Amino acid sequence: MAEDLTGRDDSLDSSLIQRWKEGDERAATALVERHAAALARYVGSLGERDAADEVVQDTFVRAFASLEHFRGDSSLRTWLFTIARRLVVDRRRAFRRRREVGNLEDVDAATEYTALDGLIASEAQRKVWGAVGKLSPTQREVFLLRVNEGLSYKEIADVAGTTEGAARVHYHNALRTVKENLNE
Amino acid sequence: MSDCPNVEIRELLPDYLGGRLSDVRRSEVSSHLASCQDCAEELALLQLVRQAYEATTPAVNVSAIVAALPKKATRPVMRSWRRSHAFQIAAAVSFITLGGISLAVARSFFSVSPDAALVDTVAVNTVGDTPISFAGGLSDLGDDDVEALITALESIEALPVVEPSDPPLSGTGRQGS
Repeated sequence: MAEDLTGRDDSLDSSLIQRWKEGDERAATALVERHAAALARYVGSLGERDAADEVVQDTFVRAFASLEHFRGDSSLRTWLFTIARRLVVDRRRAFRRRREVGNLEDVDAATEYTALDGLIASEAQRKVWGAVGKLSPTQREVFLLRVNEGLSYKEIADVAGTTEGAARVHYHNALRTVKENLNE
Repeated sequence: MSDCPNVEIRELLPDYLGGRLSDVRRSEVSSHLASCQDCAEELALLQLVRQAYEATTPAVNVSAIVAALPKKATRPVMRSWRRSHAFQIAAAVSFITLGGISLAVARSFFSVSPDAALVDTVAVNTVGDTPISFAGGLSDLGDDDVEALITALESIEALPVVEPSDPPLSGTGRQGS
């Protein structure tokens, strides 16, 4: 799995958190700049693209409000992803209550994936994008956290509320399915 | 596209792509990729996934996010701080008022000029007539005035420290949870 470079990222985050606690507001800016894009990408991959800016902002606001209690047991990014995921789930629940949508995971990701084709210039990228869009929500989430964000299976398990072993299985099943979809 | 049987190398491909491997591990993976078509194709697939998602990353306004963050409190937030310390403030003001009256009495006792003593007494009575000195009630104090008052009060070691959850100094107040 990932080795030295992850450790250096965590050290920088810890340093910035400590500086912020000591009153350096620029450290807050640095922390947001380091993680905002990844959070937006993750939130978008969960099907909340239109609300990504709002969810990302809410994530950081909640995180900074609790930063005094962040123990560093997980990486800061993993913690941020966990907060963002909960916010997305809450949004879905509220949407379901308002619109009586049948299932938390029945967000029409396939439609959204088709609609976003136009943002991808490369035909090959569009094909892969479409193939990933056909994955189940759980497989897609695990697959993208591993490929896009480089989270370990342990970190993925912490974010998605599953086990390390299950995350590994989901990843390899997803990869196999994407390959099959591309060969169709 | 088939799967290479070398699971260890395949598990490292996402980290190889993200530049998260040590030099030694990166070299191992590079050597394997040079001779394994399956892993080279899998790496290319993962690369396409990353590129596709980077192209569709929703935009976020970093400045707006930073502006919305709670500020690291180096000074008390005056509105809620004032509310939570209202009892302490009131007790301290009473203390100052009583102290001022005592000072006026002492000065009048030692004063050479009866007129000066009278002026001091009148001034202290004015202070004592209103719960808070300067412009009326406690709520009329500006944040800077309250902060200055509290700063001065905190320098008086005789003042008790009362937190909202602590039992009140007097017999009134709600029970702690």
